[in-house]
Amino acid sequence: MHARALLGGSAFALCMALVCTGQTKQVRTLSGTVLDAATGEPIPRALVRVLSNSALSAMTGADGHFEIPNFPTGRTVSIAAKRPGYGSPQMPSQGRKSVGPGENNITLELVPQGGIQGRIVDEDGQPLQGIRVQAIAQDIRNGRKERRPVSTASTGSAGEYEIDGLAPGTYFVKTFLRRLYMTFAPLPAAQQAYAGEFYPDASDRAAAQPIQVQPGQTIEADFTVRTVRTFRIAGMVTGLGKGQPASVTLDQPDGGRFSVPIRFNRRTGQFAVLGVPAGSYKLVFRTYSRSQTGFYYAEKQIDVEADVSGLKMDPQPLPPIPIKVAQPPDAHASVQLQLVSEDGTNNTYSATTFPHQALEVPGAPPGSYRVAVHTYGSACLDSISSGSADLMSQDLTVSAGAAQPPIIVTLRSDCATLNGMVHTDGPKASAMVLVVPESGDLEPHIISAAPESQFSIKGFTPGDYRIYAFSTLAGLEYTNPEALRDFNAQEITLNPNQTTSVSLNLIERGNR
Amino acid sequence: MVAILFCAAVSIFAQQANYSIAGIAVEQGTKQPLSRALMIIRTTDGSHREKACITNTNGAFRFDGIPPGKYILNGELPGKRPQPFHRSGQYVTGIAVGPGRDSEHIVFTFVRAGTIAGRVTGDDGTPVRYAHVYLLRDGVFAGREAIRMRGMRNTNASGRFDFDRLPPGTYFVAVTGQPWYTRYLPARASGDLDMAYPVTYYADVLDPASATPIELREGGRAKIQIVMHAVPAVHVQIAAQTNPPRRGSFFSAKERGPGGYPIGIDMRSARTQGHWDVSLAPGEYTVGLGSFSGPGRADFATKRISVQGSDAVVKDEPMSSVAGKVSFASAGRAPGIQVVVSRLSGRGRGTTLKPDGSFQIAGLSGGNYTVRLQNPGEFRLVQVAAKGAAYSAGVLKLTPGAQAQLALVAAPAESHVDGTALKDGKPFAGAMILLLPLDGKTDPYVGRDESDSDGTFSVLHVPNGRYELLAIDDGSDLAYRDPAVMARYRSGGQMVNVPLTKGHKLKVKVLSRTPGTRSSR
Repeated sequence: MHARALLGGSAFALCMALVCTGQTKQVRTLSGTVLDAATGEPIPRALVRVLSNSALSAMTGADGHFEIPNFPTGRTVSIAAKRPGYGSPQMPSQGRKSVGPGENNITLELVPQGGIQGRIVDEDGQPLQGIRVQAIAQDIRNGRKERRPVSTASTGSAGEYEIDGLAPGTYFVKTFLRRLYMTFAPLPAAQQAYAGEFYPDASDRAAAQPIQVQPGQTIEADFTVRTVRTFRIAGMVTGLGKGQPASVTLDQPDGGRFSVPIRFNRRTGQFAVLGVPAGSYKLVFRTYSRSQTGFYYAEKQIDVEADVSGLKMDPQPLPPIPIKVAQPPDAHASVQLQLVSEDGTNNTYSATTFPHQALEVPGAPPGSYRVAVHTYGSACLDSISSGSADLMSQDLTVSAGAAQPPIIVTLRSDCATLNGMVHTDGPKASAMVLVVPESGDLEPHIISAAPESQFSIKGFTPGDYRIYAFSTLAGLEYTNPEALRDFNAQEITLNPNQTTSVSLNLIERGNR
Repeated sequence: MVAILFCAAVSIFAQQANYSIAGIAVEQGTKQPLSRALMIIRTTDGSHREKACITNTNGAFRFDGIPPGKYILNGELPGKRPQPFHRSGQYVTGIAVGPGRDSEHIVFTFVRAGTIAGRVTGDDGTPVRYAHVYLLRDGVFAGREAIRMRGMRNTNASGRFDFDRLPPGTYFVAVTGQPWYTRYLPARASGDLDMAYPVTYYADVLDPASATPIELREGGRAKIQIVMHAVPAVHVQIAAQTNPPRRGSFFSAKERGPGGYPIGIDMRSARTQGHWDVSLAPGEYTVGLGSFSGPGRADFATKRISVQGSDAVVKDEPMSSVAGKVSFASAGRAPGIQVVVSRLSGRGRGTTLKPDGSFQIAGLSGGNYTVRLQNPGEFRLVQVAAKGAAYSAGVLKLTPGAQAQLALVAAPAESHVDGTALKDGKPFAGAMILLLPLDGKTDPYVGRDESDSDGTFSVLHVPNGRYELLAIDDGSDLAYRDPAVMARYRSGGQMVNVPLTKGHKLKVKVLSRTPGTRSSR
């Protein structure tokens, strides 16, 4: 016997932490209430805790009231309320508050989660068990609209699914393709599947209908899923370094990845997939890591209406795209460059250059990319180009096989400086200052500013700008001028080598 | 709509063949014909050829052009698990094709699986998320009645769980989890937040003996609700002898559930300098502490503890062991034979025999075990004699601290017992075929097969000796290794001396299952 259990009962540490560490400090009792943000009703049995010391916690009573004894005095302390069924990871600031030294009788609000549920049947009305259902949030992140899968569930024995814990917002719901029969034998009779479909009964993303989930609300979304014939696709990847980490995937025209795994033998290059419904696909081969030979890529457009075999994929090297930074002699700046895929996937390939050091973007597959550049240091952006293309106003096109001309980032040193202050009549809270270039070719700047104190930012490319101070940027599509139209902006011109001062009024925005 | 290949005149295997396999797919219970079932026949001659078709609107299927032989028939309903034709344990009924064999009136019964689904909430109405839900089945496993785990699920964020594809039977549900707020709090939270959930059995009881069994019928759907009540947690420190504990050390606590099945506790535990700090609800647990001491090797020690109030009392329960030797009645044993001792619940421990046939397994807790050989090749275990522990009816009873000495005999088993099961003079398909030893010893060997569609059976690897050959029309859930259960069938069979005269085929009369019997209880 190599281990021995020595046991001792111990309730000793119950209050040790509180008493011993609190001895020399002043404490007080903090009290408050937790409310449902949708109904205004108190929330019983919610946990309220001090974020920096979770030993200081309390549960609300039936009236939503809580008291935290031994609460520290003399400094600002963040507290947060939690209860299953409220809040969400998408809203991290939910139910949180900074409590100043003199503050008491705090009110914390929690937004109740919503959900989507429904029943999935086949064309005969028979409930389907084991169908995977996914909720895709249509969200705004970094000022852009984005569709992001948030939660997946499977239908139970009565064909019912339930996705809960959703933050209020806009969602699409889709089912995943599922084979009718589990046999893997290539039997023609067994080649059928329940189609992957978007609510309500739409076969592609474009025809999908968004579902609005309100706080605390559960939306019903029933589907009828079609049965479709499926086919087998098989072929071979040629001329490939043996055993290189790589995959073959089947992409749908809307950029979605086909959900059935493709069997790919890295040694022989052979690949096969069963269960593909009729349609147009892009078959893609890609290597995962930069080996001695660099990245390889191949794609093939295929229309499936019968079994397809003997496909040949001939991967081509994906040469890295060189970046050249043209800096004025007196400047000393780093550049972060991002290629953001415009195919709907938002795949991003990025590189950061250090002052006077050129780099490259590795492994970006063929396609169109938006090029975003941020500068750090004593220079600002003048232009981005590749060959004859102006990448400030147009997309970068990457094609397979051919070497890409370098992306030339030209910096200038006559940058402008912006000084300012944010005013508010309401409670003091930090502001997000949004600086949007008028030309649309440059990326917006975002600065977090403390209330009623001066901020100063260097490194602006001279030009015309609109400036806003928001309480939060959450859910604001600020890269879209239309989304900003209803808000008051300061219109300013930043001149070369000059400092411009602004005074901004805080624009209060709710969570949604 | 899909172009479906209906089953009609599917020309099949290469050779000249004029036989057919045909029948109808029906639902168990209702006997309703089932359309859109995928039927697959597979050869059994090692060629692994197969053919499939889909039942028509009348539930009918038909394969033509089939050469004589035996075939495995499987069926699959859309979106469901494949099912073999007439399954009983690990035995299926084959389809015999050839002259004088009727292979065209098959009734393929699709078993309707049941579900047990539900929700777990705390006493404050919140869902208990990510709780472990154990589903135990009280049934017959390998011919003995026992309580075994059917499955384990974690509840989802809404506290829900769902067990599907369940055969009919008797089930117990046990849940272990933690109050939601404890994950946001330090290990020793203050006052009324320092809580834990005891293991809770359906329907909301803490004593496994009071757990309510769920009787699930064919295709039954049970919806249950379980409410867990938080109690003040007890903190226990468990010190490891290796100080600090080595990398890869682990800790577990288990409670004895229905039938003694160990329920692994979902608890909060933290490894600090030299000890484990765990928070539990009061109760009696078997705690285990171990560490990986090398590739594929682990050291493990267990203790029984009773946790009440703020005290944890060690109830010392000495470990048992078995040791002994396997004698082989003839030369030619293959390497890699293991002796395995298993609880009736299915959990076992095994060790590979040393070259001289000796073995030793230590660190067993007291209880009832079966003894068997794994990978025995052409040998079968035919005798078990025990000193230091009682052995009867194939069960070894180890008292805590017992050091049992076992003498095992393995005999070569090169004979086959072939024959036909007959009821009212006609071949009977799907009968349970048993060869029970007759020489009065509590032999661990029992021969077993299932009759095929033409009533034929073949029990392979039978050691020489005297047996009673029994055929029972419905062997499902029959505790055929329990002498008390089998007493009512014995002497209804036929005496057989193995080896049989070469080429001799037996005929055995099929007995009717005594209704409502599976065990001696």
